Parts: sequence; C-alpha cells; structure tokens
Amino acid sequence: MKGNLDIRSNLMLDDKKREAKHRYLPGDFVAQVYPNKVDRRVIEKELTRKQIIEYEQYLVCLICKKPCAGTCLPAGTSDKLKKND
Amino acid sequence: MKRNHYGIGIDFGTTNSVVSFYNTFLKKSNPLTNKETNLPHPSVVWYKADGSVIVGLEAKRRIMDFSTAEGNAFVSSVKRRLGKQESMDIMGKKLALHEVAAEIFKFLRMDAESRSPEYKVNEAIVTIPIYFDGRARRELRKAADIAGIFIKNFVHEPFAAIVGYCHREESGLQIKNMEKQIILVFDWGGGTLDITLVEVLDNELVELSTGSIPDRAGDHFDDILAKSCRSKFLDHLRISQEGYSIPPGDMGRLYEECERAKISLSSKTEERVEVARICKYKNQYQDMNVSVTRNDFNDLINNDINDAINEVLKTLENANVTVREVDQVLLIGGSSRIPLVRQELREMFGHRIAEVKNANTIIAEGAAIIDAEGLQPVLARPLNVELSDETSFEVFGSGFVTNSNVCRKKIHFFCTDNRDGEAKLVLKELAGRIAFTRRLTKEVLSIPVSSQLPQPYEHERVTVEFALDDDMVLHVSGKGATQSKGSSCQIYDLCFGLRLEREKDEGES
Repeated sequence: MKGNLDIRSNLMLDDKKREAKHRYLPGDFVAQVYPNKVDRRVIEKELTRKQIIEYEQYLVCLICKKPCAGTCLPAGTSDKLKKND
Repeated sequence: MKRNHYGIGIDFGTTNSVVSFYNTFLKKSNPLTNKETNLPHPSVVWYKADGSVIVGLEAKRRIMDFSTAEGNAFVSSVKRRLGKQESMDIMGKKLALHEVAAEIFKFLRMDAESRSPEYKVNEAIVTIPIYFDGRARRELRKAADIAGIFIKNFVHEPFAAIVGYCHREESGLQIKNMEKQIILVFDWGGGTLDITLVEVLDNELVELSTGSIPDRAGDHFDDILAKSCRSKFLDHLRISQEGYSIPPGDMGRLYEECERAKISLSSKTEERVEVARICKYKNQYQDMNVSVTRNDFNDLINNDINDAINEVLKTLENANVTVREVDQVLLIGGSSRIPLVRQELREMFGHRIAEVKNANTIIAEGAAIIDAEGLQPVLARPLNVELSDETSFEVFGSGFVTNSNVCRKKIHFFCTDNRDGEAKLVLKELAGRIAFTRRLTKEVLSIPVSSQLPQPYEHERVTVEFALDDDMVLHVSGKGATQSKGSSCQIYDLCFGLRLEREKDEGES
C-alpha cells in the first residue's frame, strides 16, 4: 500500500517585501509565538482560513481536556454543536 | 571563449569506444576506428604480469587465451560498473574503476594523436548513456583526467547520434524545421540495447522515455553463434557435446570468426566459419569449417529480436506516444544492422527508418560536432523549491545552460516552524513542458535551526546555496542564521537535454 503522507516544507522566501511573515506559519504555532493574533476580534483578519483551522485543531477540548479536534464526541455531534454556536 | 577549428568527441562505450574529430572548415568528421577491422576499438583492458597494459583489439583477441592463465587480468565492460564506488582486484593490486577506465582513455588518446598529430586530444565532449547519473559522470571525468583529457561536457549518446545524423557535409548541421519532431533512437551495440524516445522542443533535444535490455547485444549474438558452430562441428566429428570442450585459446579464435561471420551475414545470405586446427581428435588436428546461413542466424536470435521489439513498444507506451507519432527512427550500433532487426522495425515504422551508414561511429561523430559547434547541455526540467504555503519557487528553469557561469545561486528563506529544530527544504524536479516524463527527482534536505522560541519571536533566516558542477551534479547546502553548522546534499539524477543552437560569445553579433 502506498503511503499518503508527505513531508511539507517549512521555508518561505525571505524577501523584504514580505511584511506579514506570520501568515505563513502553521496556525497552532502562530498561537504560541503571536498570542495576540489569535484573539477572537482579530483572528479572521490576521490569519488565513487554513491557519484558523490548524489553530482550532489544537485547542484543548472542554469535554475531554485534550486537543482532540472534536474527535471525543460521538459522530455528528461536533457539527450540531457548531450549528448551535 | 576561444573556439578551436576542430571538435573532438569520444564515445566511451561498454563494449567499444572511438574518438572522432570534426573539422569546422571542411565540415567533415574523421572517426578513428581500428585500422585493421575498421570498427571501433574494443573497450577491453589487459593487465600483464610485467606491468604493461594492453587495450583494444589485441586485448580482446587474447581474452580467451590468457583469461585463465596466471599473471594476466582482463577487464571488459568497465563502463557498466562506473558510479558504484567499487574497486577491482587486479593481480593482488586494488584499482579503482576509474583507474581501469583511464587505460581506455589513454589508449584512445594515444591512438588518435599518433594517427592525426595535427589534433591534440586534451579536451573533448564525452558521450554517456541516459541512465548514467552524477556519480558515474564524476568517475568518468576522473578517468579522463588521468589520461590528460578534460571533459568539456557530457552529452547523452542518443542526442549525439541525432546531431551526427542531422549533419551534412555540404551544409553542416540541419536541425531547422525539426521542432516538435519525435525521434526514436534504437542503439543496439555490443553490450546493451538502449532505446530512447527524443523530442525536439524549443530547439532542444529532450528525452521522453527510455528502454533498455542489458547483456543481449552483439557479444551475446557472437556467443550463441559460436555455441551453434561448435555444436555443428562436434556433430560432424561425431563427438558427444558433453564429452569434449574446445580449449579456451581456440575458443577465442572461434569468437572472432563468429563476429566476422555475423557482420558478413548482414550483407550475404550465407557465410562460412573457418578456424584452422581448432582441436586435436584421434591424434590429428581438425579444422572447423561450418556453413551458417542468414536464416540459421535469424532462428538463433529470434527471441532476442522479439524482446527488443516489445521493448520499443513499451518505451513508446511509457511516453504516451503511438507508433504513428514517431517521425524518425535512427538505427545505430552494430547490432542494428542485422537484417531481421531492420525488417521488424521497418514493418512497424515503414519509411521513417533512417539509413545511418556510419552506425558504429555516429555517436562519436555527433559528439565532435557538438564540440565544434559549441552546443550546450541544458536542464530539461525546471528545478523548484516547495514553499510552506504550497506554492513553489523556481531555482533553475528548464533550458538553463548548465555549463555557464551562473550555475551558482544563493537564496534566503525564513523558517516558518522551528519547533523541530529543522528547516525542511523540499526540492522538486517538475515535468515542465515535457508532457510525459520518467520519475521526477525529489529531495528533502533538513537544515538545523534553533528550536528555541525567543520572545519576541524572530524568524530564523536560512541561507541555501545551489551550485551545478561540471558533472551536472547539483550541490545544495543550507545553513540557519543561528547555527554554526549547516547541512548539504548532492543531487545526481537531474534530467538534461541538449540545446541545438550555440550560445553566442561576447561581442559576437
């Protein structure tokens, strides 16, 4: 069976024009090094959609107290919770 | 760059090698084949106990006589083993493979310079098979260096054959109007069958796909013909096949005679294999005199030819090219002259089979023309660095001239995630303009960076240097700004094409 995993680059061109370097960091890492960027009020503006998903994947779950990305809930529950939100 | 009025090409083959000169004024090639046979020199090296080394036809002739005799060592097909970092034990002395290959280069140089003293073989274009990677190229360069020959460039054998074929004495290189043409190079020499499908794209020769059958070529045909003759001869004498063996020295004469008969059968329908006093039977020397017809020979090699045709079809299929889409077929190498091979391929490709008269030397001749015309190898596919946002950055584009002064690039990156203490540089060869390709090179280089998270956070700068050397090996080295040591890797199997027009020199209009 072929693997479906690949190594992803963690390099970006370092040119002076590139001001917002934080937009190229993984979402969870942004939260670690720039905690102010993940503030609810600015997160949509500061981070890309992908970064927000990555950030949310690592949030500690209120139910299981682990970064479970919603996997501790029975199937479909997380979607319902999201709708209620 | 000052250019000579002549070019030198060397076809360093697995079984045979040859040097060719090309005079730019006369627009004429001069391949220096063996004086006696008018064929390329056999790539056989014979080490004698007295320390002397003999290369070429004489070594090949003696291989059967002395291969088992103490104080003699023979090396053939050294090219096939180049690049594997191996060494050989020659009469108790360890020799690197490039040292053995150097003997062939020395012989070729000496032979060429003694026959054409007006030319100096101190630099040349050397041809290599498509499968030859950077390690093999590097070892070949070492071998040539020992012989005092500087390799200006390496060129793939099928490309050299196409250039040699497209050259006309009266008008020079005729490569205009070849754009988008697909050429199949069917190179069946002494050691291997190499099939290469080549396309002319943007005035460059690029490879679409390759196929190969090792160990079933001219030498193999000599072997089966010799076995058949031996069997006929023993039947004639009514000696059992198992109970008698021809002495090794006489087998050498038989092989040589079979090779001659095989070549002769390309033009005649019947030939005799005659070896005087081949064995002693009932206290009398016996002469071998066996008749071989072309049909007999065809029956012997029929399976090999079927396999070769299947390999051609496989090569086309790998490139998504149909038989109809092939514009020309070049038959090169001695074994491609066998009438049955021609007949089978003619049935498949019809009039698109090109007649190559100098099939044995066309690769060396093409290489000499490439040298004289100043044609350059180029990167056939772009080389990119993947970035963390899933875009990519082109380091060297396709068509990049590899033998230029700008083969060195320094690029600054920043690491977007240093928690592992590693920056991951992902290098990828892309298919680019070539529709279908062989496996594309991908390499990941881990460069150490600081794993600490300073406050306020600063992105660590990673400087990566790319350099393509003369052997077309890409050296990549990277270093993080906070680190004292970096890391590096070498990429040996990038894909190269050949630009069909010369880069203009400075000041040239």
